Amino acid sequence: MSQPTLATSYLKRGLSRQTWIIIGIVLVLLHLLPRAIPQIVHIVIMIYLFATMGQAWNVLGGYTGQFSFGHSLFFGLGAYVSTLLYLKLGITPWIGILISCLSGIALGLFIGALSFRYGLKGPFFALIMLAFAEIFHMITMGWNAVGGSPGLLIPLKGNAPHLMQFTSKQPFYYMALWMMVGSLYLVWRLEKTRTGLYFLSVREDHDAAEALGVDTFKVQMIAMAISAGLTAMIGTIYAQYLLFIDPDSTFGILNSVEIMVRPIIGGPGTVLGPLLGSVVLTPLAEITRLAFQSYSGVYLMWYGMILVIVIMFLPHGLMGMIRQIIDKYRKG
Amino acid sequence: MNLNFVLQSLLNGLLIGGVYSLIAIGLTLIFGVMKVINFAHGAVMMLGMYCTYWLFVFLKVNPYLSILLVIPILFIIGAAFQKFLINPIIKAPGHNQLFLTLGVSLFLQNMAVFLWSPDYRVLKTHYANITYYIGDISISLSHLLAFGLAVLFASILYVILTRTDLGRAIRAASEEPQGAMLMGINIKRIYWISFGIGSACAGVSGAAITTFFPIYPYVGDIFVLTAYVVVVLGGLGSVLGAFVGGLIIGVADSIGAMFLPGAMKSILSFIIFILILLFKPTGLFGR
Amino acid sequence: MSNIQILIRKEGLMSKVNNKVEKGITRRDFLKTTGLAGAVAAAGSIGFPSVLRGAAAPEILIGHIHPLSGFLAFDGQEMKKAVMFGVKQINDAGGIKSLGGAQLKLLDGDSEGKPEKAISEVERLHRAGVVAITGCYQSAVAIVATQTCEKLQVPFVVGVASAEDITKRGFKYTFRVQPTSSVFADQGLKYITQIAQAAGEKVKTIAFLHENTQFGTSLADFTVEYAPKYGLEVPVRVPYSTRAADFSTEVGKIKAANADLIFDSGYFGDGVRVLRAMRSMRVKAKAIVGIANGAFSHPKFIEELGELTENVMDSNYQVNPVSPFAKETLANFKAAFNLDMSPSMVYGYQPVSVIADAIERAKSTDKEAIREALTKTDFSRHVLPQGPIQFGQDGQNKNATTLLMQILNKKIEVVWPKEYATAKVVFPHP
Repeated sequence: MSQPTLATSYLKRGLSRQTWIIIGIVLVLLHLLPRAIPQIVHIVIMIYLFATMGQAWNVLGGYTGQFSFGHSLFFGLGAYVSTLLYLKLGITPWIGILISCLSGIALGLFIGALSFRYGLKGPFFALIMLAFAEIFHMITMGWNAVGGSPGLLIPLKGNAPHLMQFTSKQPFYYMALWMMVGSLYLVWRLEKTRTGLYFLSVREDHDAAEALGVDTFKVQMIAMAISAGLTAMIGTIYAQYLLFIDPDSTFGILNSVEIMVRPIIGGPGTVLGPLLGSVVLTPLAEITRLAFQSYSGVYLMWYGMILVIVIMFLPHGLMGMIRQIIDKYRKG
Repeated sequence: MNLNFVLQSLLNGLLIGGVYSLIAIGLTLIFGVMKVINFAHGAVMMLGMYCTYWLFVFLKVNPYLSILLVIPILFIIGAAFQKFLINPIIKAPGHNQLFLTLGVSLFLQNMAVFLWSPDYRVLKTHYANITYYIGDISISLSHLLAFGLAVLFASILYVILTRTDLGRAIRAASEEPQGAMLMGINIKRIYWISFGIGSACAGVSGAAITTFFPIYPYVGDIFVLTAYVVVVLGGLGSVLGAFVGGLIIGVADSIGAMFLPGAMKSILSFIIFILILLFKPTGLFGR
Repeated sequence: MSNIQILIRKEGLMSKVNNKVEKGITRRDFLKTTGLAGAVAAAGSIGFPSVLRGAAAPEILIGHIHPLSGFLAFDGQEMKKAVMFGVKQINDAGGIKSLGGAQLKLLDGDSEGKPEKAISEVERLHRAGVVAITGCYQSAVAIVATQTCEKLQVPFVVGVASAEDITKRGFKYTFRVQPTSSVFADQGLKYITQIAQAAGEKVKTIAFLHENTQFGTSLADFTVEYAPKYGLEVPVRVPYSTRAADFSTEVGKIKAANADLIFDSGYFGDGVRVLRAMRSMRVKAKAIVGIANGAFSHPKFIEELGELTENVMDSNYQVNPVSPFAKETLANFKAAFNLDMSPSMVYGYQPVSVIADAIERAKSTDKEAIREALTKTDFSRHVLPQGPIQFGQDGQNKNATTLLMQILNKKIEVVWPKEYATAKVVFPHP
């Protein structure tokens, strides 16, 4: 997946002042959204959460070329770690989220150490991630100490900010918003660093990069750490938002698909890709569900169709299409 | 943990392993030739099952006989899938094909939900109720037939691959595409033929289990995950490997179920999977 | 012809409206007619019975959450029909009379069989303006749905969901009609012990096969806990996943246990497959007893497995087999939906009458008022084998009772307790 405009984007050291102002305005508007349109706050929170996880996946997948088909592993891990710490040891989720992040990084590095050392690539890496996700899925299903199949219910405490529980959705909205903005910023900055370039080199041609002296193992591990840690943190926020987690809703394959599909359709290896994908797909899911009241899995039909169309005709995702349009606009 | 129980479990594992084998053979053929992990394989199997179901419901066709129809139908579907969707992007990096098959899988499964509802459907035949007994060990006829069909089709495929020109062409294409092309083999044709055969395998295994397994849109997921494990265990591209691997995994699942709570029984298989991926990615019989 | 049209005709506006409709309603006309309709509706809601009886009273929205899609879709769609029937029954009888005959309108919520979906569905129904919600068929879903309703302060009357915890969290907005897990377990044990005594048989051990979510697990937990009270014990319990490819190993473990009694808890689909496996593997016991089994006392179970189902028992909720009102209701359901009403459907349907009764007494659609009215429920016009429906402090139906069913000659008969029995029990199973 080579990017013809890569060279030009690297020449631009930063964004123009105009762009910063636009970003500022957008942020202000997003801040006002919960008060202005409260009905869509839930969907928008989901958009942010999945956009962030999509971005995390993007770091490992879109940028470094290691496509994980089991990212629900880190999501579930984050959710379970913080929830169990709270339920069993009374540790507040504010600390729990940090521990979730660390657990995600640890697990990611473990899997990475195994996979990258043995040179797993492409479909094999995808499958090993899937296998790990399924193993955790099965363990949480069968092991009663972590809730088993019924899952874990976080007791309702009303408004308890010190326990990351709020009666209103707004605090979650802002948390999700800033996590997403943070991840966007992180990836945007990362793009311009040497590590970012290394990511791309591994993606483009692993062996050549190796030959040129890039420590591909270390690079992939860094990508994995960022990807896993970030995803795990979203797991905690999700758990606190819904106050309920179970093996299926966290470690299920569907989550891995939902996480992956956003950056792929939005534009892998781009900063805005996952966000764009999330903005398009999440409402699509909701609307489809309302339109076809009886069977709600149907939105996945759209996902499938769009995914096929994008892969066949828009290999750089929607971002690629937008870039083409912008370039054409600039020339014409 | 008496002997009867152990033997019964192992036997059941072996029988269902045959079904895993057949699905995996289809998958391994596709991978061996096209180097594509086909995520839509489970959905294809599901289509085979629904095909059998509708033939039974509307035309009263015996599910085992409808296999004769399922084969060409699924072959065409698979071939078309390859020709029109995968072929155009064959030059693109491998992961694109991965995502494409994922997209097709999502589409097919949920289209099935949309068209046929997510309800479980059961084929009511007398096969499901006939059981044979060896001592205290019971063997369900429908399981036995499924196993028998798996062995039959695996053998047919093996013969095709080793003794026919087509088979040789397929193997050549999977080992050395460039060389094969130079020898005048139409690679594009081989691709869609292999995909068609692979899909037909999935369809047949689906049809074979309709007598004892419920039919619903997501049924493929259960089997296809196991199929990946089998394919990697057996060695990507090796039909013999897929066959043996299927039996091994079937038995591994049974052993797992003996000692672990139901939900965790496949942990053993997945651990085997991970170990193979890391330490012997070519699998048992792979090159 | 709608009530508005009757009124407009009386006012001589009908022809005018019709003409406008042909040409296409202009905005002014639209506003005029809706303004008129609005005024009429407003007047109607104040309540001038002689002139405006049956004028457009607002609809009262109630919601339900069931697995309308996914692996429990069969059961979920049946529950939907049951709830629809409940609404129809109320509406046909004149709606909520204390609110001018307001009709109930049902909004669907699809849990897809997953607890996390319940959260967004509850939120969606809440936004749509429901005054109460019922559901969920699955305990796991119900636990989550009721917690969300507690947060949003929406009354939730659980129809089918057995987990104890549902009414043990001190929630004020949760009510439940069906018996709880502990009642199923306890009464099941009690009935089988009584039956065994009456037949002069000794029973000691139970092997318990159950599905592994909240539903099956809590039933097994309680059975293990209460068994000693009846001189029984549960040396073997085997959980299984409803989505497994094959149950033969699990059933094999049950067979190897060689217990006097076999208990089984699960949903419809797995119940069918489990029994088929049990028969195929020649699993024998003095009795095979479902505990709140989704299949064992469901009419379709017999359709699916024919004579394999003979003698299978189920300690489960059930419609009152001897009450004339119940028989009439079942007949009406069959006429409306061409389907036999299974026990689950009975309990899916019943909460609607309870909710309607509460709204009737609250004389308001204010959720708080309805909640208050629910706490004071004393409802007898029901189809259940029990006294009046009354809710305890915890929201649980105090008088909820289970019955013991047995399939005899391909019919589901109630065999215990004697006052509800429709046939003589066969024990031990041959």
